[in-house]
Amino acid sequence: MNKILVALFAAFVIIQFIPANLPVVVKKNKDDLIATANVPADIAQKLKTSCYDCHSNETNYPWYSYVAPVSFLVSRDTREGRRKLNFSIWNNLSKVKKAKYLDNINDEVTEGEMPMEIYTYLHSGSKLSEKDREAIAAWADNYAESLFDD
Amino acid sequence: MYKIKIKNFNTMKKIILLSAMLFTAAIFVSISATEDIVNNTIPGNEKYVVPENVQAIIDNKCFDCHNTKSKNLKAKMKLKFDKMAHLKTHKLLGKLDNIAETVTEGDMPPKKAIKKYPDLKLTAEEVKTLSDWSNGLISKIAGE
Repeated sequence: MNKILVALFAAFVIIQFIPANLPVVVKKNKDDLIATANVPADIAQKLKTSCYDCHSNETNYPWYSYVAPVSFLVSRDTREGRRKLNFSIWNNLSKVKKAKYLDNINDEVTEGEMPMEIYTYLHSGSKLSEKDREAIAAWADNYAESLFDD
Repeated sequence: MYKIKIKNFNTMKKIILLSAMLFTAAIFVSISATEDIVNNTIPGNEKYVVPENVQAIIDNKCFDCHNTKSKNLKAKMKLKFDKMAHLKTHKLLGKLDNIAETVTEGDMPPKKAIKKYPDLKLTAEEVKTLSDWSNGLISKIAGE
C-alpha cells in the first residue's frame, strides 16, 4: 500500500517536469470582437465570462491549471478552442468567416454544447441560463444578418 | 340565322385553339419551374445553385442525416440540405463555409458513421468537388 502511494507521488512529481505549454496570454488585442464591434454590454459580459478563457488570447488560468496532469488538459482545450474560434482576431476575419462563426455560436449555444461541461463545473459563474443562451443566439443571428444586404 | 351559327362555330374554334395554345404554354412553364426546384433553385432565391455532380455526392453521403426529417437531431439542427435554398444570405454563407471547412478537414462525414458504413467516406475528388462548389458559391454571393 505504502509502496503504491510512494510510486503515485513520485509519478506526480515527475510529470510536473513535463512542460504543458499553456497557450500564451495576451490581454490587449486590437482586433478583439468586443473592442472593435458594437457588442451590447450584457452580451459582451456573458462572452467574457463563458467563452473568452478558451476562445480568446485573454485566458485566465486558475492556479490548478499549472499543475500536471490538469495542465495538459487545460493546454489542449485552450489551444483547440482558440483554433476553432478566437475572438481576439475577430476584426481580421472576412464577413463570410464572421457569418460562419456566428452561425456556429448560434448552434452550439442553443444546443447547450458550449460552454463545455467540464469548464462550467470548474467555473460556476460561466454557466449559461436558458435566457442567456437565447440572448446570445439572437445577438449572433442579428449581427450576422447585419453584415449582408438581403 | 344559319350564317350566324357558322360564325359562332368559327369563333368557338378560335377560342378552343387559343385555349389549347395557352394550355400547352402553361405546361412548358410548369415543367421549367419543376426543373428549377430539382436544381434547388427556388424562384426568388437563385443564389443556391447545385450542379448535378455535387447533388449526387450530397444525396449519397450527406443527405441521410442532414435533412428536415432526419432522426439525427444534432445533424439536423446544424444543416438541412432541403432547406438551404430558403436561408437568408448570412445563414447560407455560414453553412457553405462550414461545409467547405468540415469536408476539407475530414470532420464530415463523422468517423463513427464511416466505421459503420465505410462507403460514406468522401474520396479526395469528392472533397475537392464539394469544397470548390461551396467556395465558388460563396465568392459569387458575397464577392469575397
